Amino acid sequence: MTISVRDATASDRDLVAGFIMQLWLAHENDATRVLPEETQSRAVDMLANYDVLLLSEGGRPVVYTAIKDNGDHVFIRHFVVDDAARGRGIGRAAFQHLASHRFAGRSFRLDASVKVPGPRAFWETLGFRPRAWAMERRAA
Amino acid sequence: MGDGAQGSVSGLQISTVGRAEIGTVLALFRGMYPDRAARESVAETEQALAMMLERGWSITALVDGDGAVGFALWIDLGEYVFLRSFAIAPARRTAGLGAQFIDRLCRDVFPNGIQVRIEVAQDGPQAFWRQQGFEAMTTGLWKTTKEAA
Repeated sequence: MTISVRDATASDRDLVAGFIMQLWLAHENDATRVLPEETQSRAVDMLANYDVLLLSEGGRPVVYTAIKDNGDHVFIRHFVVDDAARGRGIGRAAFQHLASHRFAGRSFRLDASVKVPGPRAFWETLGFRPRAWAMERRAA
Repeated sequence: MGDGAQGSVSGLQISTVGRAEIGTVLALFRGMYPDRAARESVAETEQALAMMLERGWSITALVDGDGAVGFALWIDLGEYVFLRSFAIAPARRTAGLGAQFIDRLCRDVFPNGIQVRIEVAQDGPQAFWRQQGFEAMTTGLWKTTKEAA
């Protein structure tokens, strides 16, 4: 499996929005609440505030990731494998590519939802370990 | 403590801490967490706290007749309030002050209706925060340098 990586640009907005759509649908039971215009808006936000990378296999983008270098660690805000490319180890290969080339020797951090257990299990197979919980409530 | 949001509950005052009072807060923090203060001596310095105040962070103190008995370090990020540090003096714990302080922050200090986020270490007091109405949303996963690549 040969993975290539490139930095996304503003012209990749629709492609990034498509990945974000897949991410939100995976976390939302009611698909009608995931609005395309909001994914476009979030894609613009990600491209403006994060290092957005597109990883391709055979020239086709199969993984989108939004990353921020926080100095002592690399924070992974988004990491999405294209639905059509799942089940072949592409996510694992893509992360290992980043960890051994783009961010060799660096520490990584991400926040995994407690409501969707699959991603956490995936990251733990790659050596990630829980260190803290984010807890929330609404101010009265 | 300085001006800003003020009020009292059962003789306790809520007060916004100004830059001139950072030293008092820091001494209180170090007294509350001597082990952590020694371990992270660089993380919470007067200079670092002053810089945080300049960048939009706030320190709110819980004060009684003897002085500050607790404080909260937080920032309003628009989407949510991030409560980075929260502490009650060791001698005053188990009296429900922590719960009262959280209640006051959420009712009277933080913007109405905003989400309030905290990060609790894996071996931290999650039960306390659940009792205050907080729910676990995400798990912070780390892959450290030794294990990376």
